[in-house]
Amino acid sequence: MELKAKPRSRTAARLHFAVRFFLLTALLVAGVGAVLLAAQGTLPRTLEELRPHWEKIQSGTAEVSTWLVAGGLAVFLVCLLIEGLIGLRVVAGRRSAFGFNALVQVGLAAGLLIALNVWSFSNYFRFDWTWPDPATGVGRFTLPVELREQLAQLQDETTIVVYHRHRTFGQLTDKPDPEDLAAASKVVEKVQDLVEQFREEGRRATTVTPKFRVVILDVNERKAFRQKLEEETRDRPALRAALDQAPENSIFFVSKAGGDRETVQRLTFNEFYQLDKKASLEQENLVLLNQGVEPFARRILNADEKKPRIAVATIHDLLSTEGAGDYGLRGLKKTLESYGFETQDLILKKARGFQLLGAGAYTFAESRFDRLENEIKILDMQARNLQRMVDTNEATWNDLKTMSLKDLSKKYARQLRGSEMDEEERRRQLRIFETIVTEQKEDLEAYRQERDRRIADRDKLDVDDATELQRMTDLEAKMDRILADCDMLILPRMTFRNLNLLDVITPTIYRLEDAQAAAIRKFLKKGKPVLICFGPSIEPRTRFDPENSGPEPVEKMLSELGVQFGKTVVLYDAEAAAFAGQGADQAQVLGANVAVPPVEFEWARGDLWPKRTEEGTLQPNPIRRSMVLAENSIAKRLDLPIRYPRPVYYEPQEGQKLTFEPEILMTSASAWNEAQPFPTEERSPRFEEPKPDDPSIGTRDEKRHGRFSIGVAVEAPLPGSWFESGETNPGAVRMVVYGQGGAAQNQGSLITGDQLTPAQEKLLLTTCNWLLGRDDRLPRDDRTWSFPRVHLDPSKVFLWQTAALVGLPAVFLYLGLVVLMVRRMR
Amino acid sequence: MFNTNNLPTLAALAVLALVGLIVAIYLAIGLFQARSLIRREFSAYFLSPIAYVVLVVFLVVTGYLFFLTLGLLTERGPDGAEFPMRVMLGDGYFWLVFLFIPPLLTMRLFAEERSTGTLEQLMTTPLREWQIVLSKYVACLAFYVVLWLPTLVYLPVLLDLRAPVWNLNAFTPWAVILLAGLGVLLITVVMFLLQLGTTARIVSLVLLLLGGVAVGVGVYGHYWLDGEQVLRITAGIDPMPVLSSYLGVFLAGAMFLALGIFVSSLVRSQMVAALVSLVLCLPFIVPGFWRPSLGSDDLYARVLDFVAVPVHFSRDFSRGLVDTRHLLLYVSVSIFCLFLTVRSLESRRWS
Repeated sequence: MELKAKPRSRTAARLHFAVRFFLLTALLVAGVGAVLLAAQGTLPRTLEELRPHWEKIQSGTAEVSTWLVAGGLAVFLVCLLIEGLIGLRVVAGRRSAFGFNALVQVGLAAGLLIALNVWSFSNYFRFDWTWPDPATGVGRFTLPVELREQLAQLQDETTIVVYHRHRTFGQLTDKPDPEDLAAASKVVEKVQDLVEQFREEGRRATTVTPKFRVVILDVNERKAFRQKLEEETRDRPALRAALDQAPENSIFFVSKAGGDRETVQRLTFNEFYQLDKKASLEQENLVLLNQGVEPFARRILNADEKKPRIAVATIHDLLSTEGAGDYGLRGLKKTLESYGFETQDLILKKARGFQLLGAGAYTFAESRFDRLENEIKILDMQARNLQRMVDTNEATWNDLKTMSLKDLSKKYARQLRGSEMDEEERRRQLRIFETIVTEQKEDLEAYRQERDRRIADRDKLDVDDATELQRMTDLEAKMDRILADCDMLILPRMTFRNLNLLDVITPTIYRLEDAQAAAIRKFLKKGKPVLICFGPSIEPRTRFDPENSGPEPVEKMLSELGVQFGKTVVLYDAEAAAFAGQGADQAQVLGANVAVPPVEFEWARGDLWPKRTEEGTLQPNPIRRSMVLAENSIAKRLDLPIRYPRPVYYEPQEGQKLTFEPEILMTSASAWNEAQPFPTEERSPRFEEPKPDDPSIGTRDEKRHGRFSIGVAVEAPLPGSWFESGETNPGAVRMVVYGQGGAAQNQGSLITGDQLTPAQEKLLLTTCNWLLGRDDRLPRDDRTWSFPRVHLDPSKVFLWQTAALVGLPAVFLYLGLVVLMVRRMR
Repeated sequence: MFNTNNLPTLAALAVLALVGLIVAIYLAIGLFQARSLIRREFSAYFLSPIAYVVLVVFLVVTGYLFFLTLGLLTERGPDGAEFPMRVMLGDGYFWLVFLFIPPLLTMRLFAEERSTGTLEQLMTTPLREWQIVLSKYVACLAFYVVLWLPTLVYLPVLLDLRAPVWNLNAFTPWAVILLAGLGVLLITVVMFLLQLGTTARIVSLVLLLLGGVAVGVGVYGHYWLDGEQVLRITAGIDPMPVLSSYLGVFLAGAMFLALGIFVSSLVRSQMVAALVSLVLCLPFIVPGFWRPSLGSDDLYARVLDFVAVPVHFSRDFSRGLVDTRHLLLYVSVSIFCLFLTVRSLESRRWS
């Protein structure tokens, strides 16, 4: 039975209409006021922000917009109250019982709907139905169980900053092609997926699980980017610096692990997925090498991991990581530090200016302090001498100005050689002395300024530690002490800068003392890795020093470990023209602008010299493999020319079984080796077949044309003879030896210069990571990703597409028309 | 995924599942009683030109998306489709077209009855309001399913299916259960077609249930636990995203249809019903286009993601991820709208 409402009086109906009209109007007015407040940027979002508005209303100084909101809301609430009272009256009536009941039910249902969804908003499961990844055993969007367990142990909050610079593969190639762009976009997507998985982990946070805060900084978001950047880096200068330095798309992990010190770790998108452009082109697909979730997780799990410390031992502080220009290793330091390493200089010679005085072991600060002290002393001495000269000349000048001609003739009779001083001569001498005194005073001022600069430089050095070290007189102990904190040692030797100009640093200068070699041996005996970059050890016959011609102690020590250096230098065919002066310009004649071919990381079986029986049966060299993957990522050879290298070979020690090929890189096939590469008037270096009676025939140094190994990486067993009874032999030590320690900048240097090229950086970082046992940081190719493909011939593709786009709709259109016709017929 | 922290959630879900099962049985009985109405409503779709227009437009759109997907799957270059269903359902244009389909399917359900005056007649039948609402809803949902059925034709390509391989030596108890279940389902179909009496229909329903369970158990045992299978169809592309996508479109469609049926129960004009339900569907579609391009941790973006159906598909369903938040949203809104529809019909009695 339908219940009818009791008819209302006309007045009541009008009153009810008025109440509802005011209610709606008040709401509209409040809305307009809110929009105006929002436009002024004063729309309150919290109770705190509401207070100033309330105070203005009380004092009567509120703006129109505030009054509109306040007045509108007040009228709205009053009308709502009246409407509520009217509603209650209706509800109280028996006839409205059904309606009220229904209203309550609807209200409850709506409440339940909202409550259920609010609850599910933060209490949910995400089921990953995708096929399990064979490597992890879980779906594509699920973190491996072990990793989740490890993450559950973390206590600290980690902020993950995803920095989109929209540059992913720009490091090794400057002209991105479709593969680079497609890979960049896919890797961004993959990173976002992984970040989302970590974000989900973070949202599940309780007191025992880790918390991850994810911030996304996208330079394309312009205004929002700047705002977010300011917010995130306001109290985090380290993060700001890291963001400023990041050259490409990166992820930063910011945490306060183990105290208040904030650590920032960087991961490039490439370290997560790497493009294999070579395979992409071959397979006509996008092929990415999946590096797994480990690099990402490692940054979080090992937030407080100690940075590896690398000692760089050079003979002069100009050659150290602080040294600028062609000679220095500033670029090496920049690269290592931006990828999470620390560097420590070790200076191996005592120097007076550019003159080396003998063996030593100094930190950079100590060596520089020592050098600056000497320079200050010299400048002081020079200034004193000059001051004396100025004093003398000023006295003479004064005499010329004040004394009579007669007195002058008498006092300076010797200088006048018997002649008399006349007025004209006095004026001439006055002009001369004025010039001399002025110039000498200027020189004196320059000396003083130079001295002050040196003093300022000296005062900037941290010499507390250096002073303590200075007191140590035992060379081996001192070197041992400096190396004690270091995890790895780099020993670079740039020997040939420009062969055409005979710009070489001779082995005599580099030669280390036995005590220094002993300290390096001690370092190796601890199982700590060493990177050797020794250029050719050849001197021009004119500079040959028979006293220093014996085996250099470090090279001798390396030979005990199996590393053999060639006694020749490798030259390229391209250089022969420059030597012969056939170049088009003077620069080429002088040895610059000679484009030598880049080194090669892939070569045919049988290219090795000397031949090795087990070639091809061993595992590929890990560094070489990584570099090949880097080349594959750009589908061309890495631009890494190395000029004036020396051949480097590895001969396994007796009983040693190689596990992988020692050779990392080779020169191109257009190279030959020279024992005396210095051009003379009689001969310019070029390849000539060795004469039958050449003593080098049959030896490693035989003159030949072809490829030369110029870098090896080995796990060399430490000889038992190195250890005394009671000492523990760690077994083997990782060692990488390259046959070059630098060359003039932009002329095929391996490690020197202010800025390393991407290829140099890649080789350096791969080498250091491998040496430090961080094999998991080397790129891997055991997990590849590519787009799924359906193999259909073009005619079938056409049929499928036509059937889907036209066929199916046409069938149902036909059916519809038939039904329509049937209905019309009826 | 499952740890002690999730226990309260799991317990709540278990209770919900139990309650849901009891309610489902009750509703199934009610629907059985209203089977004539379901049949009438369902067949009405096939007699209406609007349904064919919807079907054709829908198939043109999905056909075009399939065209694009196939192009990417057979691409010769660095582009492609990692998740083919994502190209089809993660595309914003699809959802813009989809937005019009539920209102077109639901607009006539009650509005037409009201405008032609047949609603009073319907209300006098020995069926309760909820049975009427549910019958119309089930019929509408069935047509919605029919709408999607032709898209199964795309699957051999979307899954890169290979030719089936038979291995008659691989019969195991699980395979027998699976075959028995299939046999029972076949018998059920035959019994339905023969249009037997009420008892036979009840028996066939029971058989349908038993056959379904047997097939489910058999598929799990034979294809997950057994080493070899009698019939093996290998797919070059992960089929699970397809499964999750179809689950998603079914539930999302169910939600939009429920919204539409509620609106239809409120008005007389079919056009008004279609327009209002279209507007009510907008909040579930528009945030999919209007949100920050990258995810962030702030609440605002998360709430937008929570309701944005296109985002659910581009990020989850089409990639094989099933998120309980989306399922609960679709199911709860559907139930709420159906409840409101029932109350709306009831209100005719007391307003």
